[in-house]
Amino acid sequence: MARLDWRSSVSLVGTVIKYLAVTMVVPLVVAVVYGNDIAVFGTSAVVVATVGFALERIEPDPDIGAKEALLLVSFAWLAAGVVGAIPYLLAGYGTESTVGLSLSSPTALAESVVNALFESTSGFTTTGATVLGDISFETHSHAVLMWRQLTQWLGGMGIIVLMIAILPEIAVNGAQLMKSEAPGPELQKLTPRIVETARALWLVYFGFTVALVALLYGLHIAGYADEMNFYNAVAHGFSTLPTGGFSPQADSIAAFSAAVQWVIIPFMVVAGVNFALFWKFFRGEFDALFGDIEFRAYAGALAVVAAVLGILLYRGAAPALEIGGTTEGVAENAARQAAFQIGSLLNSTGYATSNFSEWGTSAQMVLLFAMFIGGSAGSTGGGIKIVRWIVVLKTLRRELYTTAHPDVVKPVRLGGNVVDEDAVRGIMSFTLLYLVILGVSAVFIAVDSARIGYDLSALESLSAALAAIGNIGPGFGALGPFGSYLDLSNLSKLVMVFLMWIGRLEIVPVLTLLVEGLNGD
Amino acid sequence: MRVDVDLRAALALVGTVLKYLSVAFLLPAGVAVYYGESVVPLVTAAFVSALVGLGLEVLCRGGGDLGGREAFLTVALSWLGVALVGAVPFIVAGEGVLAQPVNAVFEAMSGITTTGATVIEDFDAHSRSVLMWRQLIQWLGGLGILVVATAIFSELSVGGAQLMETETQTQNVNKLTPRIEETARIIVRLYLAITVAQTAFLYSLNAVGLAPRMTLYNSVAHAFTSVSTSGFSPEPRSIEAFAPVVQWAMVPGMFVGATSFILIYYLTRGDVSRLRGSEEFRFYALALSVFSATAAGLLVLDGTHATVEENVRHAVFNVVSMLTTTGYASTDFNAWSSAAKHLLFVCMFFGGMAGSTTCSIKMVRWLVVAKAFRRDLFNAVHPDAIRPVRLSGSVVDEETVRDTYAFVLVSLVLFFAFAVFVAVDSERASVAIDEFEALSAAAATFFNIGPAFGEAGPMGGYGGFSEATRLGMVIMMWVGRIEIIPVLVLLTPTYWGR
Repeated sequence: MARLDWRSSVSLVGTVIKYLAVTMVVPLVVAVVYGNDIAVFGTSAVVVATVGFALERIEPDPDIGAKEALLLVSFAWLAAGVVGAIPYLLAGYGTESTVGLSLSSPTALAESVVNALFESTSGFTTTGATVLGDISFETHSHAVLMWRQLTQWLGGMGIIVLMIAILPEIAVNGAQLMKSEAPGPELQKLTPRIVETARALWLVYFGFTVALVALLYGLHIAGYADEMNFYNAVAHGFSTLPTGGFSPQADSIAAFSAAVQWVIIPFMVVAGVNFALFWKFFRGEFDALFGDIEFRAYAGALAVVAAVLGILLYRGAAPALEIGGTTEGVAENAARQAAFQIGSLLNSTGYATSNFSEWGTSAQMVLLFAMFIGGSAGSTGGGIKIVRWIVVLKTLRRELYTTAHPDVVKPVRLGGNVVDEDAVRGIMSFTLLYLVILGVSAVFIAVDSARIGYDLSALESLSAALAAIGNIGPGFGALGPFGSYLDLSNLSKLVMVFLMWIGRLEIVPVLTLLVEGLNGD
Repeated sequence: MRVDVDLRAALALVGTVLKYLSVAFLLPAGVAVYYGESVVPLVTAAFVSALVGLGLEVLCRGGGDLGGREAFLTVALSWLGVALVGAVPFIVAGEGVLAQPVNAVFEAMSGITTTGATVIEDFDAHSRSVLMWRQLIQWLGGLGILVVATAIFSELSVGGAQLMETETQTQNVNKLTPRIEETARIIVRLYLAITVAQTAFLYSLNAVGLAPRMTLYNSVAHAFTSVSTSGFSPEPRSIEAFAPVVQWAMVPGMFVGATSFILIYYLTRGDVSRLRGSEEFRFYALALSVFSATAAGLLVLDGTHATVEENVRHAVFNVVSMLTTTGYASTDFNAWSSAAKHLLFVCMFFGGMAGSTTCSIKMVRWLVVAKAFRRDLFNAVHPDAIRPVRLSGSVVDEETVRDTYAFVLVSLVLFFAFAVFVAVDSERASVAIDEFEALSAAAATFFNIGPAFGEAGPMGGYGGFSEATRLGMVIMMWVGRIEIIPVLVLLTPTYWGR
């Protein structure tokens, strides 16, 4: 194999950055409407565009192979995180904002930069973990908080997929690129041409987003949701479909009426489904969706886990809470809190309607269990993913079978098709790698927090690592849905940034790059 | 459904195991006679054991040859049976908390699985003979798993045996008996020799006046539980009770206990090349050195103990103890800094080499997993290249790689699920433990290590956990000791049918 042609990769990363500057038009419009931070987004767009153009010129005629694709995808996501931090830093300069640039001391500077990078990476990777100390329009402008929502929407279906959909030059090696970025073990090709696949996926994604915004705003107009003004409707449309979880409201979805919460649940569920299935569904192949084994398992897991949690909550597994209300003996609230929290955590969204940090151990353990599952392959959800668990379970059953019957050869089947042994091994190794990285990071965060005298329980540090690598967002305890990651050390925050990054790209591309890419062979 | 497993053959063999177990009670009975304590508990147990054993043998006469499937059942039931019969002396003696059957079974299961987790609160309440039985059952557990791992599992391709350095591989799993006997004989001899050497070594320290507390009783007791990497001690303060020189002297004992006995066997025959060529041994030694050095560095930096020697000694001792799944402690490491405690916690997931008395995941599996990861990354860039995973020079076949992945995955998942169970059940029973304690208690029992952190720490015990948690631990110690799969396979319908 040829030497790594990093110039081509970096040049195309420049292209991606250039187009990210264009997306800043959205917060710029918001800024103009609310008359605040116009200069910030104007400047940011110019700076980002300049950087993009400059990088693009490194290689006028980029040509990417397998290694270059890995480099491009990995760097593009890293670069998005860096570039996306610029508006936070500029807008927050000289304010109380925790993500605003601070030049008062080297320590303050380092912390502000790390915070902004954390918030931005958490946005693009659709994690939803936040270090904003005070989420309110007093500290942050409408435009900045809308940018925060927009980063999630851009990251959801994948920035590379978006680029493939609109840029012919990237689409040349699009299949390889999409494989590196797409969540899940294999890419489903919907159309012969990769460009059309990318467009189809974005179209479905866009359609659902518009539908949600319309519904939410409709509720507002109909008088069922006072707080859900047009700004909020768009903001939550941006972070529901990508399983993101950011909200410009400090109380997340608890700020809204029960009707709004019930409307958001099905859209979170949709976000965790393979979007390719919807494409087929809308073209009339209904069986493609309902007959899909992963979809069935996903729906089944949601139903069962939510039911268990609902029963626990109804029987008093949670105290009466200021945020979330009373669930003991209150059927509607118990059902809603259970369905919402599971709909949010199982597929890695990260919204909350109840302060589940205050729940009893048994209810919290159900949530923790759900956080290990993840969305479907080809969805915007993070985590280990349903299809992997199916294969892992089937493989284990096969192992037990062959242990008792050593002479029988029995392949692993998924929906009638034989899964080839290489794929089985790949899935086993991914799942194991995920758990090992999770465990090691959890220990690291626990030890690092003890070092700076921040008392973090084992569950809290585990949840921090899990929330980051699974792109979920909230953890437990002080890191819960209405807490923040602000008090972690810079080092722990950077570890989480790394986890969010590799979690979004499903570990292997980044590790391959780190281990193999630098080998010149 | 027609049961296609030869139950008679399996149960008859369990009977034989119990029959011979009755002989083992003679040793602590001798101790009882020597110290003038009651022999009733041990004699009763010997009778029960012989009776049940002979009963099973007679009732299940006429079984066929022992095949692969029967072997799983035999192994699983033997451990369970010995744990139940082994609890008899504790119950009959009726001393302290062990008078309660759940506690007695916990202690016996912790013994036979070489775990070393204890529910004893007041060691003075127990007679020396009963405490010696507690040591002996660990020694037997170590011997049992050695024989099973090297002689039986290796024939059935489970328990990481495919990765173990064995003499030869045979394909015929229907005629296990002759080979089992041959291998077992070698292993038993070696095990005995190491135990005797260890006893003599410890007692000689006493004889030359370096270790006043290391009496003959204690020498034997600790030789029993270090070669078996199990960790019970008749001393309430574990190895803290002994002089620094004894603490140093016990490190090699644990190290040997967690080294592959097949390698040791070759070593005794003067064949050094096997040891030198073993990647697993190098990895094991490297991991121990790195963890010990890191722990020592942390303790010195924190100034945990008074002198550098103390810091280094406690770091090395406790890292070796936890990593080899022994479970002795030379100090109450609950008092260590968070970083040092987490380091010990990480050690719990390693374990020593395959083919030793150690438990947990084991070095060779991590080695194969790491190599396979590395290969997968290579294949991500070179999709067409074929690069097999190699261990000590020979190719590991893909099925074994997959088995290894599956084992590690199942271990981690079961460990975690059990930790959640411990946490939830403790909440239910209003037992105040934090999540780290729950995680460590789950690891310490499932991976057969012994002490955890918090209440169940090295100087504490498991008596504070609810009865349901303790019973859960009994099951998990059992499952963990016999390498999970032989138990899980019993739960599948296809095992029992055709």
